[in-house]
Amino acid sequence: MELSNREAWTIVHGMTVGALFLVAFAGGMAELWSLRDGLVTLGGIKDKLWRLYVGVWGMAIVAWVTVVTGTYVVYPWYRAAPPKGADLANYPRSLLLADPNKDLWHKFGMEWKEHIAWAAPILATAVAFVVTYYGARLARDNKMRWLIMAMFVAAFAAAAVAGVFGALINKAAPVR
Amino acid sequence: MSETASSVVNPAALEAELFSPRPNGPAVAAILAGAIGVFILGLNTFLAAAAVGVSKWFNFQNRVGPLSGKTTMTGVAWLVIWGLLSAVLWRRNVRLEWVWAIVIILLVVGNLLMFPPIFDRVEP
Repeated sequence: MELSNREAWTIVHGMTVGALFLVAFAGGMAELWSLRDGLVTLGGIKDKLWRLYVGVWGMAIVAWVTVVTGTYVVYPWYRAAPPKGADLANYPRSLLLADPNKDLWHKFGMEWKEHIAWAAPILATAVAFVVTYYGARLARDNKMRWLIMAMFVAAFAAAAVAGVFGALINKAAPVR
Repeated sequence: MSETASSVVNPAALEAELFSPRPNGPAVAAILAGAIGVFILGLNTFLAAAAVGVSKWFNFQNRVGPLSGKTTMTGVAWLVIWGLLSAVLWRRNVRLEWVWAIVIILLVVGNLLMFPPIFDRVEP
């Protein structure tokens, strides 16, 4: 049982940082949801803010690491053009496009995933900045808190689309 | 005794530290720039699908293909727009109802533009 260099990078891109992303989102969302005046004391808010900063900045950083490793490390192996007569098993994009039963994994799944994934770090960074700028004031500004919670969820949804398609495409035509 | 006294938090001071008013302009600038960034990502995706010349121009790195240019230019535009909006809104307070509406429109349109069944229709 051993992993090739490409498989190891795929795991780093999809599973390691993906798991961190989930933890950071869950933590950040829980803290944002409960950051309400009346639910926590002044001292409690101050403690809570540190966990919130870790959650939102953690999610933003992890999202950037995911899209950069995905685009510049794993994706070139996925899209590499095979030389004539090569075994397509080593060229996932070509392998999918060569099979009419599987070509939608690329034409729909990969084409959507490779773009929408980049929305996640952009939105997560905006949320992290707003949380840092506003701090405890979010507890008394429900409109702003709801707005950034919506953006936080949108960032997560973009990453979820990319993550689910990434896992399914890698099952149909693995990067080896 | 002195240690106990110094560790007692003055509620009024803490209230002032945590809740002193701030204009929402810089936060709105970050939110709008993020939504505009997603819209530009969708626009780049759509334009690259619609015109071969645009797709070739976005080919910043051969290994990655046009995705390298689409995402790099999105990042550059996002940061520039964030800077500009921050400069304009730095000391202002903006009505969040408008921000909500603009963000929803930009995110929906941006996502539609990068949805394959839509940009596939304009491929030459």
